[in-house]
Amino acid sequence: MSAISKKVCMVGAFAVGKSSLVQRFVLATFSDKYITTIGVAIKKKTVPVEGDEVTLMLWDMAGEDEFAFLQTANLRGAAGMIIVIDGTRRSTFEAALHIADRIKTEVPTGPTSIIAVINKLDLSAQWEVTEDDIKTLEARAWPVFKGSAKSGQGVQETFELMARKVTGR
Amino acid sequence: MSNDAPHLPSQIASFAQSLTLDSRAAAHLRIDASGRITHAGGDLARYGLAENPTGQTHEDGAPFLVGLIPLSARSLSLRWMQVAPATTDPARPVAIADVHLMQDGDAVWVLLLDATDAAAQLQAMQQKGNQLALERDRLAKRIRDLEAQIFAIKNPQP
Repeated sequence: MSAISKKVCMVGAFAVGKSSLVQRFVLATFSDKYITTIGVAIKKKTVPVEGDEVTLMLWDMAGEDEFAFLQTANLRGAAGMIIVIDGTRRSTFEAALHIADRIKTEVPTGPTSIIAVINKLDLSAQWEVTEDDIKTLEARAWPVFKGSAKSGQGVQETFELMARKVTGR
Repeated sequence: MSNDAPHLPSQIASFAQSLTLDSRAAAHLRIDASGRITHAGGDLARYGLAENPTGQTHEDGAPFLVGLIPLSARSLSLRWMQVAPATTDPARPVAIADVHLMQDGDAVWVLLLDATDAAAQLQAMQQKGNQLALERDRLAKRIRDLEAQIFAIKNPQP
């Protein structure tokens, strides 16, 4: 058994649930209270992958909004990136595409393993993100998960797939 | 006037240095070419790191550096980083750091400077701005729904 550590960045618009997804995965807890992330909060969790211990260093990055742009320098050295979308706000789908394009341009050596998560599945009746939008994400060869930090649905699967992708499994 | 670093009088340079080091709780690490921590100092515990990680690999002693070592540029500065998870002890909150990495031959120096106060001020403003933006989006959505209902009432389907 070997120990491997990989940096994975959480990106997306503000208030899509990046911190909540990390909290659900790392601590198995959830809070309804929205607290804006400033800069980066780093957490880690080790998951077994085919007999190896893979430690994911999760960079929970401040969300992008009208006044604060993603600090692409934070993407340096990242093996993976999870792009988070709020299913109830279609603007966050457009923001996700914009952020991904900017990272590709500004960090050419940036993360190659990318997963999209459409969060807030517990509010699926209010979703504005459509199946066509999901096809647009899949057309970029990104695995797409529908999940909920609140219920935990899809969270473990997302990070476990990321652990496999960043280790080439 | 040259573009080089300004030649400050030694009194000013010394004052500026102590101002930074005293007020921003500097802590540092040195990572050698093999990725091992060879020097450590300052108030590392303030940032949630072990007080003396010397001899450990950076993956174990300073895991926030995973992916950043080896450094792909001469220097790199990252703002407002909580480099380790918060503790459960409210009396010992984890500080937010501005992190600077500098190449020195085969080694990399890492400097952490406390940015908690500036981050807290920004957080308060950003929190308010984001909540207002969410409220604006909610109202816009409500107006769209109401307009759709009014349209449906005015244009009943046969």
